[in-house]
Amino acid sequence: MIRVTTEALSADALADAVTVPEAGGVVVFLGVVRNNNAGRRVVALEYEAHVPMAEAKMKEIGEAVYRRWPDVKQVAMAHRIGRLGIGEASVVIAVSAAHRQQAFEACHFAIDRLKETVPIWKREIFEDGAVWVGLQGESPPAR
Amino acid sequence: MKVAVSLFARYREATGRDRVEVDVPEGSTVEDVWRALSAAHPVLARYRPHTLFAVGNDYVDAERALEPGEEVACFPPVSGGGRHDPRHD
Repeated sequence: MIRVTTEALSADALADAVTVPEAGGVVVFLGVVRNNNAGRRVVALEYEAHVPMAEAKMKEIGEAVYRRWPDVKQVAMAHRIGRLGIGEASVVIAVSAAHRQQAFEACHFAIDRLKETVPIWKREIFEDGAVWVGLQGESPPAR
Repeated sequence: MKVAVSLFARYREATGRDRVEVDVPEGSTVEDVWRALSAAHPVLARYRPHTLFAVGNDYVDAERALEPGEEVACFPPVSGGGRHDPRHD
């Protein structure tokens, strides 16, 4: 299951999607919206994606996982876009494997790779403005 | 040839457009498209060193020549930020 969606993410749904009889371990990673960054209070995050490309890149990450960890049975990834409040999940990755070590390693790899290669951007919303994350030095004034 | 360019995140916000069309000679590269785009929207020019390009669902180099009908996407680095080497994993 690979999905970019405006709807709330369910960790249980992704865990279920990867749970197969051959798997002895399921690792689920949730990325959630934190209430602060670099000392500023964050009230919400807004995510934007190049949706078809994001889903294609997530699928490539899944394929890379299957090549690298032969014991991995299933990988599921979902990323939410739109405006998210504090504590809401922006990304969920679930990996099942015959044994836990490969599930942990593959899940760690998948979230790192997702953040590097999947075209999704976030904007931090503060009480008094907003800023796109990345290239902070290049940012136009918050508005 | 006319090339459709989609813009994301701060590029979309800076120009007020999520999609623009530029007219470039046949055989033009992605860089030529960027030049036409930033001429039409000078607010984008300073972002060039950080810009990522895609054709379809794949990242491409700026030197990539375009076929008629291909669309280009321009965007800033993705929100995971760091340009670190993915091989560290």
